[in-house]
Amino acid sequence: MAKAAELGVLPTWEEYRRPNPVLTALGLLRQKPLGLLGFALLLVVVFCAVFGPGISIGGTEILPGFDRYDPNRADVLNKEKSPTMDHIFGTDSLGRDVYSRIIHGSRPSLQVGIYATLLGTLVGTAIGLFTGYVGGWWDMIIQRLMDGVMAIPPLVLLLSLVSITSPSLRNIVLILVVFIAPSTSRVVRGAVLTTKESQFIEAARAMGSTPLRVALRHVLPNLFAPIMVLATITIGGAILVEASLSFLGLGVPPPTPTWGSMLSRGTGASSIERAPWIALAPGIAITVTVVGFNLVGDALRDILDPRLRKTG
Amino acid sequence: MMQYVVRRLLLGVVIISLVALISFLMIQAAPGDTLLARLAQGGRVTPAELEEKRAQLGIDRPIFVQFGDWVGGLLRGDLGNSLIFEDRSVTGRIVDTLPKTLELVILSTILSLLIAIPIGVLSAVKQDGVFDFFGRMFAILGLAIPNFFLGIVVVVYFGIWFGISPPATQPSIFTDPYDNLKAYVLPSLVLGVSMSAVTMRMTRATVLEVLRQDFVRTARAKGLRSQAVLIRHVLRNSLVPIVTVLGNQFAFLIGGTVVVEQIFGIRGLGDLIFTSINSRDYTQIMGNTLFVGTAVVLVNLLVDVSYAWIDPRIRYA
Repeated sequence: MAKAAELGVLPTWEEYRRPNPVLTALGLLRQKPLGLLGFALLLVVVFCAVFGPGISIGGTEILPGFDRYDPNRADVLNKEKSPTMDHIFGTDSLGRDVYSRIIHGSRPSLQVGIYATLLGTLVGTAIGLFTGYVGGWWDMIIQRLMDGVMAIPPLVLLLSLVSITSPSLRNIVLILVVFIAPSTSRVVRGAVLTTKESQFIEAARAMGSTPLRVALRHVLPNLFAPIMVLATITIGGAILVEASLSFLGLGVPPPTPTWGSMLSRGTGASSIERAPWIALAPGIAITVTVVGFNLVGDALRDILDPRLRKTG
Repeated sequence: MMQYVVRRLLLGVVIISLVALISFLMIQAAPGDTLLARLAQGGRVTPAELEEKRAQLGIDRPIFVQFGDWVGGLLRGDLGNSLIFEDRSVTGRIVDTLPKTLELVILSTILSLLIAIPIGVLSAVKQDGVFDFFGRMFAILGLAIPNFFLGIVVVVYFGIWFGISPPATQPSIFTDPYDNLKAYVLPSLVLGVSMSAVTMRMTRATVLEVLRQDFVRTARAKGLRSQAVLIRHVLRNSLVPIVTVLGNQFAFLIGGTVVVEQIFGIRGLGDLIFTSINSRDYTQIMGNTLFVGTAVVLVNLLVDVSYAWIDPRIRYA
């Protein structure tokens, strides 16, 4: 498209039809240096999560990772060693290599954030689409229920839910859905209400489309922007909440190394004074990841959906 | 106005009832019953004793009857007794712990405003300048640093560098205001900083928008000093979104107190929420959840009603 503009001629039909979505997104990100920074941070984190621990199928490693030690190998003789070339982030109170644990921890931490957001956004979108589109009593009842769930502070709700189930990665994800879905449903419902009145919806209805078809084929695609923006920021929030749960001892259980539980262990009253790196490394890892998601989310919001800017 | 408040109160009652229903059902979904949880540590029990105890606690009745019973007590202001501390009532424990958390919430809100509003306004005035850059960096980091991480770092390094360490007990603000503030300033700062990130971003965005309005140009044109323009005209007209954000943050703030009270050893409501969840004190959990949910609903109502007071142009029909 740029080429056509330079020559002062209109873009061809093909150029109109198929702007490469990836290139467009990258081009737009270039206008947002902070967004680009966030994108870079996320690339590093995702790379660590995917390749760091190595990839194995059915117990056999098909691709070696770049961790240096077994994250759960205790070496009590070398506990709380400050960072050296051998242990670049030092060792923790059981002598485990902090660097390897950070690398291994990136996978469950990201998994929790991403799975919970995907599922929560899916559920929230379905609820928001349904209540916004159908309206009436359904809308009234379901949205009041969402009000009820949202009135309970997230951490209180999640802690109670964790206490009645057993903590595991799967349960934490399912519980986070309860925290994500209501607010997503609220945003989607609002967007549905404004989209519903558009002329193209009226047109689709006049042509005899069934309500389901109108909702899925005409309304839903127009909600893409706000949902994307919200989801990006939600991932960061979900990672923070998981870390809080882990910190309180109710997160993903050991031996899985998650950043939240590492931080929690590293902040035991005495160990942070003697060996601050044990807590600093996961703390910085969480911060960097959440900053990454937030920066990308902000950039996406400016690019995709100027109406949402005010919520910043 | 009155009509609006009444309508909102009625809606609030509906939502609070749903909160009650949710907190009740959540506990019902717990595996095993309350009794088993309580007797878990207490040696051997015969089935007959178990039955007798169940009947005594009334948990052998159908779930609807139990719910009716609980709601009946609720309407009389009686949420039953704690399952762990059998001689203490649920409401009594909430009332006992509330003042500490309330002080924490109020202080951290004040601190967050003291941090957020000046930075937000200056960031907007000097848009894209150096100050704005650092202001936005502060907000981005503030949103991303887990408050428990910040809390721990503050506890340790303030202790090492300045010799300030949070005392183990918190005297009442009425008998010993100095020691009281000394105990609360660090935890409030931790909560306030994480709160201020969101408020600062909102302040900046709103002030930017208001600065472009015609009345600001008029105020400047008539020769008003820019400070007066900022405070009397711009800030005054930016308050509604800022108050909205404050209201929205209240629920998160309560969650934050759960974490921060653990770190600083404050025996407030946040600590009560955490310990009763950890010890599976189901009646207490239900009571806590209901209480906090009600508080959130009321704060939101207060925020909505305050709009009319902040901005006289807003009228509720």
